[in-house]
Amino acid sequence: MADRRAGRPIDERLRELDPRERQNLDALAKRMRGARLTPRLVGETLPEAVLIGDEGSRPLSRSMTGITERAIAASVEDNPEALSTALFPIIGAAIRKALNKMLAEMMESMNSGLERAFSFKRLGWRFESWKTGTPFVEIVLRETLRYRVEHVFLIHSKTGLLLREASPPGVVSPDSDMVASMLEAVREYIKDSLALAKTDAVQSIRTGSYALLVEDGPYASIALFVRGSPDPSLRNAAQEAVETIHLRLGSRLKSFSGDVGPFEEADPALRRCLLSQDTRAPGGKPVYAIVALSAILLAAMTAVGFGIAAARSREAFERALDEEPGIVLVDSRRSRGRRVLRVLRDPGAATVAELAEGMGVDAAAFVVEEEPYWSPELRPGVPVAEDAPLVVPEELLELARRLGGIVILFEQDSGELRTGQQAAIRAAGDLLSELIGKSRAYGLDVSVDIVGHAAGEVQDEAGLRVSEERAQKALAMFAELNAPLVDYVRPVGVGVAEPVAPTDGAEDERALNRSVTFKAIFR
Amino acid sequence: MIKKKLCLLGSLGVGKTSLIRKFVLNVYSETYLCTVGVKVDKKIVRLRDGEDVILMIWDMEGQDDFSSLADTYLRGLSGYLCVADGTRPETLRTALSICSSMNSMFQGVSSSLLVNKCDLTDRWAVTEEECHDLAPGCGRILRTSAKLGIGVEEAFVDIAGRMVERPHG
Repeated sequence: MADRRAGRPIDERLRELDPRERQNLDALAKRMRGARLTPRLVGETLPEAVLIGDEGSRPLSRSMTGITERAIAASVEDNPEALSTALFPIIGAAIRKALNKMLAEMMESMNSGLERAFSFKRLGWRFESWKTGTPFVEIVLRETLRYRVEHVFLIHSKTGLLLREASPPGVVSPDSDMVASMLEAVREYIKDSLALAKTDAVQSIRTGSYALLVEDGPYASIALFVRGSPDPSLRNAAQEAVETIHLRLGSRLKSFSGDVGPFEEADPALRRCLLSQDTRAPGGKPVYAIVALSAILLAAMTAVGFGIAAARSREAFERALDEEPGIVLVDSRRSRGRRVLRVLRDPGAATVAELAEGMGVDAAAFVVEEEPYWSPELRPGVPVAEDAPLVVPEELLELARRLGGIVILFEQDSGELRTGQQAAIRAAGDLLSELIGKSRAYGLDVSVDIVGHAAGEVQDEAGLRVSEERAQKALAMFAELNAPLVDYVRPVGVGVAEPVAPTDGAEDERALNRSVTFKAIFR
Repeated sequence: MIKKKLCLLGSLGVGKTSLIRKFVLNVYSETYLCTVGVKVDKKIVRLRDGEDVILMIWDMEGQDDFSSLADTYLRGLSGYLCVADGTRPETLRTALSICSSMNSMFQGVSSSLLVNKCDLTDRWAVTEEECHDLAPGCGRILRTSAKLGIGVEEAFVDIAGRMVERPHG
């Protein structure tokens, strides 16, 4: 049966079909006969076809690159404004992003440059940066760029009419309509005068303490009236505002016919341009007072510094002086603005001036009151009693030597002290007291002979008498200073028997023999 | 509030600035006319229907022909007043030339021809017929006297009303 049907013409077989099936087949055949690619059909299937076409090994997007480039080129050639107007809202943001990156790098470079530079002002800024954690560059910019946007105008480019304006509270507005129109006229005038290209607009005008920044869009401009030195960020703010306004109100701006009411919506964008760089407190910082106070403080600190250094130097010198063999520093005091040193010096010891020079100390800074002294260090041989213990502590021997080195001078042929001997007597009294105290602590007995001397080459009655008088005088002096001391001392007049200095020497040396000396005896 | 840009054109010495001075309160010095070639003034005009219009009046430096006119100052105007001096017939011819050029550049903008100095009757040199002959090119023709204030207010209110009726941003 199947074979038989297959052998018959197709028309016969179609007639055998159900009428509804035949109707469907007819409709299908009719549609197939009239089928062709209509724009509507392409439009419906093209988006899907593009997506599928972009997935293969030869993506459609790559194939369309050349066509797209040529299409853009043709568009720019035919009507550049259409493309620039379409790109305007986004191109500004892209350029700003690139510029911000460049500026950030420039700032970084500037920062490192400034770090190398030095000035007191910058030192202050650096301190503020450290204190507040604010980047140094930010402080530099803040200190050098101060401004305030006092008026923001939205001006219709074609008519020069003012659409909207914004000002901070308290700022008196001029007749903004006239200022805006005149501004447009002046900008046109400058452009014409300098024969600038149509696309070159006057974007900034500087006069006195005012700066005027204008940012143009396709249909409107934003003008910022700035008092002070505008920050570069102001230009960015104006750009953002003009882009925002064109994005939202572009069509109204394009068809503007005089009604400014609808542009109220631009106010928030305009107000965002009312930027200001806060100035310091009214009247500014008392810079001069701060400088003066700083200078005084610096001078005071310097003086204190020098004073400390000088005091340390003096103390070192005095220690060295006291440790020098043959010299005993008896007293150090200030008198009439100068340092007075009272010293006992053995004639065989170095002079104070020599020591000062050796230490690099200015000898002229001191007044030296020098008295003769017979140094046991230079002239050893402090007597010790024959029955003294075998071992006397070195500390006591040192005290005995120092005491033995003191020479108290008297007037010629007299039991009267020469002037200026008080210091030597006090020094002897102090040493005597210390020696007695420490000897007792060691369990030793000590007595001190106050040995009176006389100058002269021959031992005679007069010499012995005057030497005894001198010893008695010294004893009386000690009694005044410290009464208990007299129990440990014994005045002895030896005349010329134990001369302190050679009896046939110079007068300075022989004068040392008109004296008393001290001799400690341990038991 | 509606704002409109109105330009005043015409030969030197026809009295454009005097007309504006009579009509508005001047803020800018007239030296702008010599330096920049234009001076802008402002006047709020109440129309016959009670609506207020802000007129920004651009007073252009005197021109003897349209070629000397700084066309950048004219951009975006809604109307213009061309001024002639009734005692100098040549200024009327200049006005006609200016109107003709303006009409070809700015189709459909409102305009009037003000024949000024009508107070100087003894020196008046323009006939009614001559004025009417100019009408097709220059729009409405009005006689004015800036000195006596004759027809000044009416001229500005009239063109303000027509500018609002025919918006040409």
